[in-house]
Amino acid sequence: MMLLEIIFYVFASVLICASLGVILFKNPVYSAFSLILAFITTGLLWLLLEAEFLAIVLVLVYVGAVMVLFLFVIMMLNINIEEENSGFTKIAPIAIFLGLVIAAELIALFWIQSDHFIGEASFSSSDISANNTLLLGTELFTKYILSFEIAGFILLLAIIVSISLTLRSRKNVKKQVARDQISADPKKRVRMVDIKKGDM
Amino acid sequence: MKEFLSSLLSSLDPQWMSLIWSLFQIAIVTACLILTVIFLVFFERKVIGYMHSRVGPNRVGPMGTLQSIADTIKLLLKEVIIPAKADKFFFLLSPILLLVPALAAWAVIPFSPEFIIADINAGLLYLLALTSFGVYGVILGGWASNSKYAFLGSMRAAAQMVAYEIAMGFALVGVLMASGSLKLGEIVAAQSGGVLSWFWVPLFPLFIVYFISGIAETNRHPFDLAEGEAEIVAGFHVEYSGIGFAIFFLAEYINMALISVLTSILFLGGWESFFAGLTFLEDSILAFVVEPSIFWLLIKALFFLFVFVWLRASFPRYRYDQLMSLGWKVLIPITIVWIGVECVMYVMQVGPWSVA
Repeated sequence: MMLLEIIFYVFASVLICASLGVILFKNPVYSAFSLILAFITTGLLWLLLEAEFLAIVLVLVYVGAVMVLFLFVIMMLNINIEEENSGFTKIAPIAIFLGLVIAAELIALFWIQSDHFIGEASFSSSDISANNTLLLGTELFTKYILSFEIAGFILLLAIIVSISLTLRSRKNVKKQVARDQISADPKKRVRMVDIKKGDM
Repeated sequence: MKEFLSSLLSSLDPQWMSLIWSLFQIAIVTACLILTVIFLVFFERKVIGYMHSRVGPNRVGPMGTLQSIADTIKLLLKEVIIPAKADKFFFLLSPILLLVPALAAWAVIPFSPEFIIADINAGLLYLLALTSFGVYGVILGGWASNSKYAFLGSMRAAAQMVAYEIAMGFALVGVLMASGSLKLGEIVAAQSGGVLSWFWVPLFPLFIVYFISGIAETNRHPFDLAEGEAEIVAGFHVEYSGIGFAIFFLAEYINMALISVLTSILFLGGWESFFAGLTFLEDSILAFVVEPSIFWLLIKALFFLFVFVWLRASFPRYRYDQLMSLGWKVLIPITIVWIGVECVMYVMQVGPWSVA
């Protein structure tokens, strides 16, 4: 178990450093990148728990898609670094208050539920030999089918709403219409004329 | 080899031994990949040369075979120039960010029935996650260069890779449904029994879509808008020189090889022989040609690599709006429709798969 513990502590410390980096870096691109690192290390910690499906999906969804768009926006905006930083002292009291609330909630939770959490600590819970993708899929599509479908429906609604909010088609824009191009009839476009020698 | 090493290492803790054995396998695969890339560069230049009625490289070594080694040495010895106002950290990090996922993806590739570095349960998802990583190297490289051309190139690359990843993911869903497993070894095993039981027959549209989006993902011709030398000089790597450029190049070619190998594994039966299932061969002296082996995989992958080069020599570059409409309006609808068709086939029990 020695090796697993070393790996765990390495990843855990990287995770903590990366999370600190998200809030402490002045440059937003560096912050976004720390967040990516935090997602990846969280995924790796889940891998240690043998939850490979969740780990890879976390990385796939957040790192592979969400953060790309995030980084895209940050780079496009070209935020002035000094300007952004000046608001830090103003926000600090609220941030500290919120942090304390979250910490208090977590402590309360651990206090009340301590019987469940404090037990034998082990990294591998491998009494289940089946792959957890299959188990998760079976659960989601049988027991929780209704909530799963509702979640999917809400996401679909969000897509349609955001597209319809942002979609605007400008007039007077010259663009290709593939359908018209394909259906163009050469007989209507070109008129063949026989020119005789005497006509010139 | 494994027996010899295990007898050598039996005095060690079994965990440490498996670690050392994995590192050994990783070193071998990485070395082979780098040699493959060196070969590929030469192969590409020679093939395109002949397609253009030129001779291609023919000065260094016999028939020019040492050309890419000479190029590698030249690139390694060149000075690394960092632009004045570039973000130094990300400028140096981004080539590595592109190379690492390109190499890490090979961990789950089943080369032969025996040789696979890590046969993990969610292999297909792992590949999808890692191929989506590569975009960061491109985005950050372009941004950190502090150059307009590089930035435009990386913006194009980001939008393109996000768009084509969806089509690629749907194509993989089709493979997953047909094989009933996320393990790459089991996906190949599900295709055993001859050329007609490979997945390219029931999943033909997905096979085509997967390969096309693979070309787009690797930013190769005719989808190399991110480089577009006629418009934005060389795109995201315009500011890189020496070894930085070499690593971008290496990652691009490793990704090409990865897409080729994956297409062979997912749709063309991986290590399965072309002649598998021909029973009259099994008793004759030609019995070895029906055996599954790594050579079949390499032959199939080499064919797709040739297609990559062939396309580059034949097609002009897409315009950006055409590229986007191809991805969103053609490839994604095709995959969605074919997944629906596959569902119907699955329920009607038509096709090579059986209801589990």
